[in-house]
Amino acid sequence: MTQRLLRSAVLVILCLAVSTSLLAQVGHDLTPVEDPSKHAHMQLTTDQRTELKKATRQILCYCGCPPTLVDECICGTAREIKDGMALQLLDGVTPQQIADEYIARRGTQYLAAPPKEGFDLVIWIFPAFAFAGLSALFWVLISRLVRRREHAPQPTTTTQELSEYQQQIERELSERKDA
Amino acid sequence: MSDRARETRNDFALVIGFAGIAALAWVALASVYGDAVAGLARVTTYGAVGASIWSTVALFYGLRAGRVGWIHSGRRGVVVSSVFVLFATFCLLYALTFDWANLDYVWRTSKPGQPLIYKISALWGGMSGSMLFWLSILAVCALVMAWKSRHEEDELTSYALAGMSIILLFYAILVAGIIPGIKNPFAFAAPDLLAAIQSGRTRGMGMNPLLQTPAMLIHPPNLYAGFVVCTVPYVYALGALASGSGGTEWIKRSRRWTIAAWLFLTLGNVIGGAWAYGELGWGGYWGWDPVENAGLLPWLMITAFLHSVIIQEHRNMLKVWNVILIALTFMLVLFGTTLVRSGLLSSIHAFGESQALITYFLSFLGVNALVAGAMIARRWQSLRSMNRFDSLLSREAAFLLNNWIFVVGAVVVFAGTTFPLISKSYYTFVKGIENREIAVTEPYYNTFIVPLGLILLLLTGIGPMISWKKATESNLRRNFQMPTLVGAAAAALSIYPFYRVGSENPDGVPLLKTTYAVLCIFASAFVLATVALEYYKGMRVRMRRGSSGPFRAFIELNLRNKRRYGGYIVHVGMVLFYLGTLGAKGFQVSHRVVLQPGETYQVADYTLTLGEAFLERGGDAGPPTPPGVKGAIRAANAQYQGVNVEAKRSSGDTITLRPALGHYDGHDGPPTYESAILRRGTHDLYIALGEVTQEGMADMQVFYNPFAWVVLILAPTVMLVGSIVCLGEAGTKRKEEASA
Repeated sequence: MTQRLLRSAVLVILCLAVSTSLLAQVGHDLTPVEDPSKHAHMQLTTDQRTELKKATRQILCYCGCPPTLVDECICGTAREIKDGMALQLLDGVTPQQIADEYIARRGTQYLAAPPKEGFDLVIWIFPAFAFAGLSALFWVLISRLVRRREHAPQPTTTTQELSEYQQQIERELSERKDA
Repeated sequence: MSDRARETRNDFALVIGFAGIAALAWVALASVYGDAVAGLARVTTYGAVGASIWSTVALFYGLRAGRVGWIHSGRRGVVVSSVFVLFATFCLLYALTFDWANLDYVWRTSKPGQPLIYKISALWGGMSGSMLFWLSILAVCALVMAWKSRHEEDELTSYALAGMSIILLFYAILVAGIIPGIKNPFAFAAPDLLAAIQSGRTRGMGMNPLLQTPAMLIHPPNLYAGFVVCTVPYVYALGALASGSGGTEWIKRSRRWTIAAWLFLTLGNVIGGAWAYGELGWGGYWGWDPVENAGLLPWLMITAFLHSVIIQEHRNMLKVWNVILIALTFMLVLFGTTLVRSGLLSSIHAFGESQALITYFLSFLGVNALVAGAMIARRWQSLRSMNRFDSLLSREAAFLLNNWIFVVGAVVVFAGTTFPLISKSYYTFVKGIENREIAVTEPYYNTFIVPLGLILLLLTGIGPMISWKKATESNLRRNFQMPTLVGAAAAALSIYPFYRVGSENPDGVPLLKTTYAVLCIFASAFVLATVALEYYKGMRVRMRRGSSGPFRAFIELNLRNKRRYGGYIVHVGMVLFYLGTLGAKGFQVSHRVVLQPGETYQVADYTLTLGEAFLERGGDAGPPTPPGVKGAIRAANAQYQGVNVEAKRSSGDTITLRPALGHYDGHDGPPTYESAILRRGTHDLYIALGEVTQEGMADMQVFYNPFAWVVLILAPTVMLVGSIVCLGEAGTKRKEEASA
C-alpha cells in the first residue's frame, strides 16, 4: 500500500513539475509593444524573425571577436548585419540566399559549420564512421568476452566431489550454529 | 610505526622546517633586497629542475637495480623539487602583491591600484605565472602522494612517484624558461622598460579586464586542479604496468584522486560557463569554443574511466581498457594545455600565446603515447580478462555501452576541435589555397552530441539498476517497469506544450525544441524514478531494521554506502543539468533591441522601458543592487557607461536593471560587457548592453533564459554534494584496508 502511494506521489510530482514548468513558457507575446525605432530587424513579425534566425544562426560575425554567431554577437557590426538582412528578407530574399551571399562576400571562415561539400564534407561523415567503427569495436569486444565463455573449459569437478564439498559446508555451518 | 616510516616522517619535518626558516629569512630579505630575492626565486626554479632530474634517475635506478637507498633518495628528490616549486610560487605571489614591477611578468599582469584579489589571481593571469601555478598544484599532488605512501614502499608507489617526477621535470623545465620563447616568471623586464619603470613613466600594464571578475578567482584554479590531478591516476596506472601489479590496487590507491579530478574538472567547466555567461554578453554559457572543448575532453574520458573501473573492481574485467582510458585522459590534458596556452586555435578563452609550446607539448604527448602503448603491449597477457560477460543484459554490458558513448562523444568533440587546422592544412598544402579557414561551431556539435547525450542519459538510469552478470525477466520488470511508466507519462504530458512553444518561439536551438525535448523529458523522468526507487527500497529496509523515521533512514542509507548513493546524487545532478540545458538552449528567447529613452519593448512577460544613461566610476556608491540581480559588481579601477532599464512583469513586479560597458583604467581595448541578470524563479532575464549614444539611445541584446540557474548553480551543487559523499567512501575503504 505504502509502496503504491509512494509511486503515485513520485509520478504526480514529476508530471506536475514538468507540465507546470513547460506551461509557464507558453503564451509569451514575442511581438514588440510598439514600433520602437527604425531598425529593420525590430520591425519583423514572429514568422519573419524565425526566417531571419535561419540565416543569422548559420553565419559568424566578422567584427573581429572570436567566432560568435551573428544571432548572438552583441557588437554593433552584428546589429548592422541583422538590419541589412532583415531588409533583404522584407524584399523577398530567402534566408539561405542571404546566408550564401554573406559567405560569398566575406569568406568561408564565417560559416558557423563547414559546408557539406568538398574536403569539408569529411567532418560531417567522420562522426558516422567513428560511430560505426567504435560500434564494431564494441561489438567485437563484447562478443569475444561472451564467446570465451562458450569455449571455456568445462569444470572438471565431479558430482561426487561437489557433494563432498556440500556436506563439508553443511557440517561447518551446523558446527557454527552449535557454537 | 616502522623505522622507515619514522625516518620518512622526520625527513618531511626537516624539509618543512627548512622551508619555513627559509621563508622567514626571505621575507626579511625581500623588504630590503627585492631584486636579489627575485633572483633567488629564479634559482629555485632551476633547483626544481635539478631535483626532478635527480629523483627520476634515482628512483628508476633504485627500482631496476633493487637498491633501496636510491629509491629513498629519489623520494626525497620529489619532495625537495616540490618544495622548491612551492617556494617559487610563494615568491611570485609576494611579488605580485607588492608590485615588484621590475619583474616582466608582474609588470604585464599587475599594477598598483589593481584590487588585491586580482593581484593574487594575476598568478594565473599570464603565461609563465599560470605554468608556475600549474606546477605548484602538481607539486602539492606529489607531496601528498609521497606522504600518503610513506608506509607503502612497494614497487607500485615507487614507480608511480618516478612517473610523477618525470612530469614534474617536464613542467619545471617549462617554468624555468629553458625552452626558447617561454620566459621564467622571475625574468627582469627588458633594459629600456626597466628604465621606464624606474623613472616612474610606467608602473605596469595590469591584468586583462576580462579576467578581472570573481569567477576568474575560482575557475582557473578548479580547471587546472582538474587537469593536474588527472596525472595521479595516470602515474599509478603506469606504475602498475611497470611493476607488473595488474590487479585493482592501483585503482584503489588512485580512487580518491580520480573522484577529485572529476569534481575539479566539473566545477572548472561549470564556473568557466558562469564566467562566459556573465562577462561575454551573449547570454549563453557554452559555445563549443576550442578551449571549452579542451576542458570537456578529459572530463568525458575520466567520467568513462570512473564507470569502467567499477567493472574491474567487481568482475576483474576491462583491465587494458581502464589503463587506456586513463592514459587518454592524461594525453587530452596535454592536448588541452597546448590549445589553451599556445594560441593554436582562435578562442575567446585563450589568453596566452607561444608557438614554442606546441612542439614541446606535442612531443611530450607523443612520448607518453609511445611509453604507455609499449607498456600495455608488454603486459598484455597479464592484463587479459579472466572473467567474461554472461549476458548482454547485464550491468557490465550497460557500463561498457556507457563507455562507448563517452568515447564516441570525445571523438566527435576532438574532430570538431581540430578540423579547422586539418582543413586549413589540406587547402594550403594540397590545393595551394592560402588562408582558407573554416569554423566548427554549434550546428555541428548539436547534430551529433545531442543524440549521444540522450542515450547516455538513459544509460544513467539503466546502469545502476540492472543486475550484474545476467538480468532476469523479473529483475527487469521489478526495476524498470515503474521508471518506464513515469518517463512515458512525463513525456506524454510534455508533447503538446513543447510542440506549441517550439512552433511559436523563433529563438533557441531548433533541434532541442520538439522531438529531442520530449525524449529528454522521458529519459530524465526515467532516471529520477530509478533513483527514487533505489532510495525507496533502501530506506524501507533501513526502517524495518529499526531506523526511526524516513529522514534518518535516508541519512543512514547515504552514510552506509557512500559510493553507491553518492553516485546516485551525482546522477540527479546530471539530470538537472540536462533539464536546465533543455530550457536554456532550447527555449531561450532573445531579442536585439534598440531603444530611445522612454521607449518600451516586450520580451517574454517583461515590458522593458529604457531610462536614463549613466557614467560612473566603479566603487562609487551607486543605487543599491536589487535582490536577485547579478552582474552588478563594479571594479574600483574602471569607469562604467550604462543605462537604466525598468523591467516590469505582467504580475506588476518592477525592477531596475543597469547593464553597462566597463572601461578599465589604462586599457585601450574594447570595453567589457557588464550584463545585468535578473534571476527570478524558473528563469533569468539577461540584458547585455552593446552600445549607448550620447543621446541615451541604447543597443541591447535581451535574453529570457529558462532554467539557466539550474545549469549554473543547482546541478553543479548537487553534483558537488554527490562527489563529496563518494570521496568519503574512498577514504573509509582505504582506512579499513590499512587497519586490516
